[in-house]
Amino acid sequence: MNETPKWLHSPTPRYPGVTTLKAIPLAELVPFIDWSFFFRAWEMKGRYPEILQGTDTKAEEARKLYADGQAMLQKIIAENLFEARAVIGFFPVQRKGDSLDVLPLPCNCGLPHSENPIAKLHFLRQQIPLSAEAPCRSLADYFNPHEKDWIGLFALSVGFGVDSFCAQFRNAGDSYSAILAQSIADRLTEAFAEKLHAEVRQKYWGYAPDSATKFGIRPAPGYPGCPDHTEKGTLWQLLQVEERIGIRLTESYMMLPVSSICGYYMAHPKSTYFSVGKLGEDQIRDYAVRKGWDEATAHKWLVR
Amino acid sequence: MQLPFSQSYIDLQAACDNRILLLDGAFGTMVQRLHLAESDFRGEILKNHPVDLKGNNDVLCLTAPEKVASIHTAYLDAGADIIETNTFSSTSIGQAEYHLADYAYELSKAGASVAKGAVNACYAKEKQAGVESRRRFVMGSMGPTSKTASMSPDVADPAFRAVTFQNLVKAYHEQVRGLLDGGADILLVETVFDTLNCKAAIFAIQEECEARGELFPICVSGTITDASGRLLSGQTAKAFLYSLSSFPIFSIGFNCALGAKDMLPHLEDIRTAPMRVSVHPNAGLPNQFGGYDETPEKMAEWIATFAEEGLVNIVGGCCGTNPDTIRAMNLAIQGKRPRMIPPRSPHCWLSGLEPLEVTPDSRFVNIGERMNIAGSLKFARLIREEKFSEAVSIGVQQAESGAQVIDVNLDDGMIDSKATMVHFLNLLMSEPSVARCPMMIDSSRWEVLEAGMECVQGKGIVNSISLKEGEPAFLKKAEAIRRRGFALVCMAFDENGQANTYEHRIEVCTRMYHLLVDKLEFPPEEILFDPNILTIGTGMVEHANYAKDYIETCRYIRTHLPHAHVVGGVSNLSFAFKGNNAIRESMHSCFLYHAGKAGMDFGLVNAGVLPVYEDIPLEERELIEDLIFNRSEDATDKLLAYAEKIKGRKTEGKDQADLLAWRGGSVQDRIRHAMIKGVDEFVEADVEELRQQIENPVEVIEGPLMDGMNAVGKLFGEGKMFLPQVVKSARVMKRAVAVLLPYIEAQQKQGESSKAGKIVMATVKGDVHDIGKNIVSVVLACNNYEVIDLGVMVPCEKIVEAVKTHKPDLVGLSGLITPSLDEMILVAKAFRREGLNTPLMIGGAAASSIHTAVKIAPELDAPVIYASDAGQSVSMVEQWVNPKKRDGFLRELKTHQEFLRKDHQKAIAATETVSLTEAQSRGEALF
Repeated sequence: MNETPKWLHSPTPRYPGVTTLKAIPLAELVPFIDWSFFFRAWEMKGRYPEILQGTDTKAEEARKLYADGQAMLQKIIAENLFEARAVIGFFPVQRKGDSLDVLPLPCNCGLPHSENPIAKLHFLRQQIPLSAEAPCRSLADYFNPHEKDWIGLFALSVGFGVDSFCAQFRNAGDSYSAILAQSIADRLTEAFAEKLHAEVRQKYWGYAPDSATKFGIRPAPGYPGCPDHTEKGTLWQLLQVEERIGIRLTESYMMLPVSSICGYYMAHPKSTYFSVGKLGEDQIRDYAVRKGWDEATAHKWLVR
Repeated sequence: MQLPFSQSYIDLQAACDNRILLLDGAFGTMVQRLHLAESDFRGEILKNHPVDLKGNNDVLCLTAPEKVASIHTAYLDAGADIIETNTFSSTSIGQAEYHLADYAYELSKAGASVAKGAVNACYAKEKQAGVESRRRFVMGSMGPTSKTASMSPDVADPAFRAVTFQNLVKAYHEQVRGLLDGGADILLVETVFDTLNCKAAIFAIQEECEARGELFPICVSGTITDASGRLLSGQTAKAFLYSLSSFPIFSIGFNCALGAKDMLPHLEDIRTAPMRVSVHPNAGLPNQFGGYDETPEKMAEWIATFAEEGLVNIVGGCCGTNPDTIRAMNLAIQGKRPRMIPPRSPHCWLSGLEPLEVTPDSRFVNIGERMNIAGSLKFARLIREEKFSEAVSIGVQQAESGAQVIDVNLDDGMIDSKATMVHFLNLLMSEPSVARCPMMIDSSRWEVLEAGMECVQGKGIVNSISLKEGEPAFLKKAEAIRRRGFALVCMAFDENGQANTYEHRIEVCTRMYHLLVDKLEFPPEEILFDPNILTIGTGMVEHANYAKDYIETCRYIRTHLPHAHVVGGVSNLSFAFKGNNAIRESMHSCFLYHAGKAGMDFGLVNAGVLPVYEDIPLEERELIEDLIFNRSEDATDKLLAYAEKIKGRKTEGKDQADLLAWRGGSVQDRIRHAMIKGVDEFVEADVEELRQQIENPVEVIEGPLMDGMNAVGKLFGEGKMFLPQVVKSARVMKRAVAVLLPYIEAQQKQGESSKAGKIVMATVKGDVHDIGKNIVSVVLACNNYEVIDLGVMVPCEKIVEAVKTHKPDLVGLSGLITPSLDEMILVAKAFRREGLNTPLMIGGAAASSIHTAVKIAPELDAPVIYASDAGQSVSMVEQWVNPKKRDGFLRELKTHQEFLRKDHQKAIAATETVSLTEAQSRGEALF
């Protein structure tokens, strides 16, 4: 991106509201696989494809592992062993401080509708700036505080079928193939997230129809930019994830099946990934109030 | 020839005896603070220079000496005893990119004199203030240059080198002259990422010292690139030490790339260094912006730890440090004793990428002999046809079949031996399985030996020199070998010819020993004598005592010539039996058995094919020994007759070209091979075959399967095997056990467990990620632990219950997400409540060593161990389960966790958050 487009608020999505995608052909995900992470799962450090080159035992083992991984991937695709599903949704929001009010979708029929928020999304803010001049970032900053803006939400999985497939191997005493299948499933999931993000930019939201233009982020609740896992609960409510595609949340807000990812789509051209870092007690108290928690609960979810 | 010490050497030694000396900190960081412009770098002198000079810090010594001096002064004021000159890149090679190659000498000299000036100014200031000055030193900094002598920059051409040893010697020599002319007291070869570059620098320094007639202190500091624990060129810390152990260096140590914390294991690795040890770490690891964050206080605390542990003599800072760091370090080392210098080890230290220490307890050192044109038809053909990569594979094969040193001999009338030696060694050095081993450069031609030594970063052996051309030539070559840091083989040969009797052999060896040790002060543990293994069984009476005398000579050398070693090429012995490999191999085996007992400790052998002495039939053994010890006149005839009889007997090993050759081995060997190589194709049939042979199926598990599994565990622990291989081996094991299980159950003999320990594994409640846990489980199982895997989302009560039922040695908990950490604390608390003192091992993406130490460990009376990956988890479990290691491990764990807790307290105190109100007012204004 050479020139930052002028940005007042995110454009209205081409497909506002919730869209369900099921049985995506796995072969379409393959070009998006980052194999370096596959090797990392096997505790072999190095970048793909360089890791395959050379004459040492490490390169040789990497080549063998890669061949085994490819064979497993081909089997999975040919026999359609896993199912890829996703649900995405775009909602109008109004920023309130470090939180967003999620507003009802405008109605196509032109009838007047309520403007009362249907949910709230809460974000956190850095309190240790990187330098004296640096800003104290929050994902909330990517939304216009003065007027209506848009956010995207998603949940996806390639995990349907993984457990039973791996269990077959494990029961046959072949943990190598079981772990191999599991690591391939993880890669396919990440690949799916990448592919879907590209399609969101170009098609579903369509804020960057040109495939060469890549901006916007897809941060995930529980990760450094928005470390509160419980926000997944709101995503589930807004997207009806479990009802639509069957991904469940555990009591710790982990997703089942395992090979799943969820998160926000934020379209602001200046949006980047960052880590919120250590929080002050004042913010923890403030966040507790926003979430309707007592302080102990706030500590449980926010402090390591 | 030991040179007299320079005055600076004597002063430095005296200062070092009493206290830990303090180096300065980063230079580049300080230059950045000055915000200099291109014009500052050019100054008046280089105003019209054709290329930009900004970033070439060294040039400031010429163009802005007062700025350089101000940095030196800042460090002297902060308490540095030693300041490094700003000459890191002041070689013709380093300056070439700035088109200033011709300025190398001048820059070096200016760098030293600016520093000297700053030291003198410091003395003057102290005098004026009426303070007594202590001696300060100027250390001439010599960086690695931008090129590496033992690696190819071109993946497609691994034998290519962008710079040679001699290019480097020339460039460094010029720099050394400049530094010493400018007044440097010490020379520092630093940030060594390739030991061969370093050896070239030391070579150049030695030449210059000899020209000046005095030895200046030489300090060396290597750079361990990352967590792999190796230099960029692939050497481990210890291999690096061994490579440099025979040079006259004042100190060895590490700088750059790592923060203080990560230096600790490497300092431990070189604990036995018989010279002083230095360390000047970076201010932590670079942050995401490439800056360094570790505070002076924190670094100083580590330095204090190093000092308390007795690990260091010289300390300072590298990238990201500044005068505040040095000030803090100065406080930290006050009153701390410098490291005691251990005496020089009497053991032979050799190295390739990895170290090889030969001690009196070491087993016989196998030197792979198959890469010898005269000794191997196949190798000779490959070299003559220039099929070098196939020739390299012979080296790989030898290393894999157990050769610990690799011999290369390219003497041949048909080829340019010197050029071929250089090309071939360069190729071998890019093959890690060979480069791992020390090299033996073997030639009868001196120029080939000399060229060979200059291709190898490790400490190898030169084979050989002798008194054939008289004493002066012998001494000259030996000195040249020492100056390149190699060990050497002395062949028992003098002006009168080859020594072939006992008397002549011991006379020549004794003479060479004294020449080397007394005249050159050559380290005796680096001398290997080759008293000539000659052919027996020729039918000639004068040959009959050759073997017996050799064995007696071994005994003499080992008792009369302290620390020296004995080496020999065994295949000569049986030459008379050419064509009958079976008898030849038995002869070699018998001979080595006896020579080994007499003290022969290195041998050129075809690793992997020799039969075990005890396995040779008694009749055969006696016939051979009659011949070796010349016990009867007709020994030769009898053995010949016997040899004829067994001619057709199959020999071991042979060419391993056929991938399935291992299928020809015994069933035990096949199973072991399948385990190590992870081949599951045949294992079920093999196990069934073995089961039918032996009565008790449990023995199949305890025998070859366990052997294979232990070997796999060990190789993985040593980093010689990778995770996928281990997991594949585990699959072979499972398949094999599945075959046996019905029979074992039928015998009801499951009772006795031969497991190394029992481990319960679980992913905690609320968490579902288990790939990491599964990997750890498999790897532990592969190391002979019984693993009870409770699966994912395991509630605390279930873990407690499992501990009560199974009574494991340890419980492994895994978690990917932050809330899992709380769950782990709950498990620890539950253990305490229930009175369980089973240790916990914590792993998974959410876990960290800090969280474990701060939040989990205090909740349990048993140890709580953090493991970052599968490899670490095995090592941790092993240390806990092994009663010999447990105490030391617990002590270390406790100290480490206490440190982490203290550190965490400080970190919390140090990181002030801004108020939420301020943070909100400082949000990114994007609209």
